[in-house]
Amino acid sequence: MADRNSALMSGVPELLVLSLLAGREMYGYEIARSVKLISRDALVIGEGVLYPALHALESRRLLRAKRTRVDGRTRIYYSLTVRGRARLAKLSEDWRRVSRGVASILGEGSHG
Amino acid sequence: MVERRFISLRERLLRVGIAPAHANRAAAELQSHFQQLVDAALAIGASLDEASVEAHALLGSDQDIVHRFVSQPELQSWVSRRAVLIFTLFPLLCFIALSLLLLAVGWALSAPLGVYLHTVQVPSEVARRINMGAQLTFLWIAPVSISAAFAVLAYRRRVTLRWPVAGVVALCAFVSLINFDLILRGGVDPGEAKAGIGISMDALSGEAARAAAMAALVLGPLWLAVRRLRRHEVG
Repeated sequence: MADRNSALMSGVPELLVLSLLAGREMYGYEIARSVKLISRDALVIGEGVLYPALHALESRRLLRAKRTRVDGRTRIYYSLTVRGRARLAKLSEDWRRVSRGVASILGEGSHG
Repeated sequence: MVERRFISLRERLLRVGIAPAHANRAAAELQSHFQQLVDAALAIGASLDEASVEAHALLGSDQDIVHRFVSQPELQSWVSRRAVLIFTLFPLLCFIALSLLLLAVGWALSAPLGVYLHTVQVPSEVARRINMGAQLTFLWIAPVSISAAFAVLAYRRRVTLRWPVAGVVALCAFVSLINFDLILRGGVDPGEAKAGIGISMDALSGEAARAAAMAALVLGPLWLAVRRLRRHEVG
């Protein structure tokens, strides 16, 4: 199982959620499954983290929520807003920069 | 059993000040998520008990979920963020605002009403009943309605009772010190409205009894509702 308690994971759930929702609208269970499947179990967003994060992103108007009833069950579909797309672009860029920096240091370490 | 967990979770979220819209939705989403986890486990051959245990474990403890919600300040309701101010001061401010509004309406109506009253004589029994009605409305119905509205808000938002109780007691004590008379006579001296506020040692016991009666009208039902809610949770 992926390490859920790493300091490196701070802020990652937001990036993952925004990134997944950039493709299409999804509901909570679908988002959790997609993270696990796409990352091949390397990443797991716990349900206890996912829903507060989704609600907080919606409060910040980065996501839009839509309630739907499917087979007698309530599903809340989330989609990205314009502000959410801008935030995704910024977070992605930040992540790539950090990632490049870490890769450079790891690369230097292996040569040293 | 399953539904009970999510009803209880919703209650806990409300108690820690999460906005009702988020608390209600989170409970519904987590319940739906739970059912899907169970369905997924059943589909790969788990028994219902195994699937249920695994789904509960994946969701994590209620305490952890509540903690995660609390750590997002934007999910707190505006009422819980300013509970002291809203429940202790706002009832009093609302009553003062209502009094000023009534004063303005009375001022606006005084000229046309004065013209009419000059042409009639108001029988003393009718004048007495009008005065009683005005006193009942201004000194009882208005403060009790305002207090009740804040009590309902406090109950719905599961706010700690000490703030609404303090607010209701403060408003009722304040109103019990007010004297108000609306005297309509007609004719040459058509009438007057008199209002005052003050503490009289002679009337103190009566004022205290009036305040206590008003507060009891609001706090009694609130206390019963909270007690019923707690019993329901324990049961």
